[in-house]
Amino acid sequence: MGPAIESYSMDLHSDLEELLTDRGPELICIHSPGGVVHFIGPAISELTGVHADEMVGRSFLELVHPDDRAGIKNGIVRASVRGTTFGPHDHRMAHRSGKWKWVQTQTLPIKDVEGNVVELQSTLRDITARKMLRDRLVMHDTLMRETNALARVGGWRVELPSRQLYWSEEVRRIHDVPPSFMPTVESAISFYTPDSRPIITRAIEDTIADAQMRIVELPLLTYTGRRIWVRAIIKADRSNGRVERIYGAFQDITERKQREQELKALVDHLTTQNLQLEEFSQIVSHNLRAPVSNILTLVSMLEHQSHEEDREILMDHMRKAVEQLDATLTDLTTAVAIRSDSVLHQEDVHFSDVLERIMSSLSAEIHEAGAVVMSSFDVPSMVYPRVYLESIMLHLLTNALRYASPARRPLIEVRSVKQGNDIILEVVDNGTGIDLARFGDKIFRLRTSFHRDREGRGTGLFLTRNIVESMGGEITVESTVDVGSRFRINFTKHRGRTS
Amino acid sequence: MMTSTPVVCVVDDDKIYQFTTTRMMQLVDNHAVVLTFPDGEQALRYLQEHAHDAAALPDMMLLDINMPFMDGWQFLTAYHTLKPTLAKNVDIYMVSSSIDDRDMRRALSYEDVTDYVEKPITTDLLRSLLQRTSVPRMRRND
Repeated sequence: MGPAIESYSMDLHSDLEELLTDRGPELICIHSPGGVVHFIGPAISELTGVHADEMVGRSFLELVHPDDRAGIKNGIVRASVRGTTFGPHDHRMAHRSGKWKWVQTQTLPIKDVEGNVVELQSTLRDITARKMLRDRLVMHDTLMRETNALARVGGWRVELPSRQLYWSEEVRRIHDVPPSFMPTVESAISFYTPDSRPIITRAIEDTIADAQMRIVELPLLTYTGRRIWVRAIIKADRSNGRVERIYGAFQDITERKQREQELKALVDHLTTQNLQLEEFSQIVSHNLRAPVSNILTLVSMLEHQSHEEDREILMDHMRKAVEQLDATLTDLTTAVAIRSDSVLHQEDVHFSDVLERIMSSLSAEIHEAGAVVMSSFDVPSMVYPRVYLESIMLHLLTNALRYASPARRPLIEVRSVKQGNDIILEVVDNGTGIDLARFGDKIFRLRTSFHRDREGRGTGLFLTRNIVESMGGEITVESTVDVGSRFRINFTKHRGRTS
Repeated sequence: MMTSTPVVCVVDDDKIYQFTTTRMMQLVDNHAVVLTFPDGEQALRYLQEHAHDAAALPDMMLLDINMPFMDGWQFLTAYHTLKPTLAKNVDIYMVSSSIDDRDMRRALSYEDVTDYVEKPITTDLLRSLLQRTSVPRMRRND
């Protein structure tokens, strides 16, 4: 953008230059100190539409714009009294058509042998075209400035081989630099974040080497420390096979980047919701339909069974099927409640408080297993619904206790750590582990148990995942069979974070 | 001959379903031998161990989709590799409570799957499945 504007401005300037050097038609007027015309050149008819003969004996001041008249009048009087030159002075003159023309006037006194001013000679030149051009230039410049500010885009250029850097006003503004700041290539690069510096440096050097245009979008820290995203276009000017300068546009794209990130977060959110809907439909079609179909079968068998003992067995199965249906419905209702319960009260919850409470309610199980629970909370607390954090802790500890290895003393480590902006909770055990290569995608689903001969209802991890995801987090697991498992919750994974 | 004592394999982690299906199968054919497995892995192990024993291999298998350890799909993939070593072909029926069209379409896309059956299963259905199974088996024995 920068170079295009520049070349356009250049055209305007050369037009102007031409006009300025071309003296154009001059109009001579001999008049009295009061402006009464004694002689005027014939070109006056071109300028004003009034014939020269009509002007003789009249004051040419009549044709001067009322606002400009006093200035001219004073100038002429001063020139006649003091014997000095007046002007060049720009003013407007009326054309018979009603239009105003811009005229530049210079007035010289004409003296007699004794040095007294007897008459004055004014030279009038039509400068309307020049004036309009200048106005256009000013307007164009203002417009460009405003547009640049609006689009937050500017231009830059580096002269080679001196490597002298020029920044346009808007580029300076984007960088928040004070008026005294003089940028160099090195200082300009140092505004980029450390990760971005090699990228911009490489792009610049490559363009100097091969003259190919490059576009980069990178984060940058301004002079005042604002973190923004910029888009830099790098082009080369080559002559005689040598790159003489590189230049380009420079734009603040922070807003766009933010919108992109918001959009991405939205897409992620919708994708997650879609998966949840899929899963719920899976639950309805399998976990709910299975017991219903069992009940239907049992009912039809009961209808044809008259033997009392057999009826008792069938009834027993029927009871189990109904209980199973009831349990699934309860879990499903709980999960749906979690999903829609987005405005639950949040407070600053201490991990150690929560762990203490859960350990006391699980004290019998912990004692029976002879388990050792260790904790280290680098992040002591976080803002979260207390009941949710308790529920998460309960399910993860219960899970670790349930799948403890009979071969060794159960060791459970609970820790919180900060990773960048994210808060992580980890629960690590030395239990039987899970073969993730086979069950990885199913572990957090409803009613899936991965351990033969264990009565896991498969509900805890399902509910935990629902809680974590409903709060914008993510739960993952690493596990090795016969070594142990590591459950990891990133509480802030999908929370709206920008820059 | 085998036709007189059909061997039926029920692969499903649902204990009540195992019970009702076994009961119904015995009602349909009181000579039938019903083998039940709670997941695909255990069923596969049985087939591997009895690969050369035609009498022990099932004539018909009712295979559930959703199971722990090895689900119906994983079983089908493993079965396809195992099939050439088996002394007998097994008619596999995919059984599911799923009313999802995709499950049915996917099931029928496996060449080893004879058909897709929706739960609940009835005695009438089991009878017709057994009859369908006996036809190609007799032809194979020619």
